[in-house]
Amino acid sequence: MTTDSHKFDSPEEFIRRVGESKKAYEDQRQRLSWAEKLEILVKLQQKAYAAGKLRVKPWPIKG
Amino acid sequence: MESVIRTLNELVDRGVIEGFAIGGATALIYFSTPMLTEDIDVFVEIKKKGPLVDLSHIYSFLIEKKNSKVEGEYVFIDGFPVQFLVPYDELSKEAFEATIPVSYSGLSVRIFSLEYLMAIMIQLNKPKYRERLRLLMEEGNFDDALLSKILASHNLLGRWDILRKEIR
Repeated sequence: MTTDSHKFDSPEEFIRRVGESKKAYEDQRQRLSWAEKLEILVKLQQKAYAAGKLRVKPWPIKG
Repeated sequence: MESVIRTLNELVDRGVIEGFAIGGATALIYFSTPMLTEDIDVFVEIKKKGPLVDLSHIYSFLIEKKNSKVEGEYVFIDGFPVQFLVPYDELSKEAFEATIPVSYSGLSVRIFSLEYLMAIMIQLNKPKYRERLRLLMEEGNFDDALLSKILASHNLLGRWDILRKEIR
């Protein structure tokens, strides 16, 4: 790979790096507990509510 | 959500409901990526006193004992909008029977299994469900054989064959 992290030596290198990123994301997702994922949901709700896309207030963060 | 689970357990302990399980997107998030939803779908088992389903005793208990408020289809338990549902057809009844125990912050709670959640989404076939199904296909964490078995027994296999090609 070149010194510029946004450039790759070959298309194969690019595909390999994308695959690694997807795997890292999937590993991270699988490590999250249900409670942690629901905390992320509350953040999604807060953004959606601020944008007027949610009919009810976001859930309490804890409780 | 701990307070919701504790309140639901109290409903069981006090005989207001016979049992409960969480379905919908809140359950789906257990298996998948966080996705936007505004409520918690709670399927309840109640003693039927007649041909009509009556959930008013649940609402009364929550309003009187838990200071809950009702807005539209939701009952707010400590700020969480909860929609109470009863298993309404053969598929949802079967899904309710096949719920699995999971843990939430040390509390045990039953949720619908991933394959039954998928079968219900395939049955209802709403646009938002198609997007969720596409994501689940990409993640590939479900038991394909079990899903096919469930769908076949509810005449939904043909619909899934078409749908999975459309969302791929």
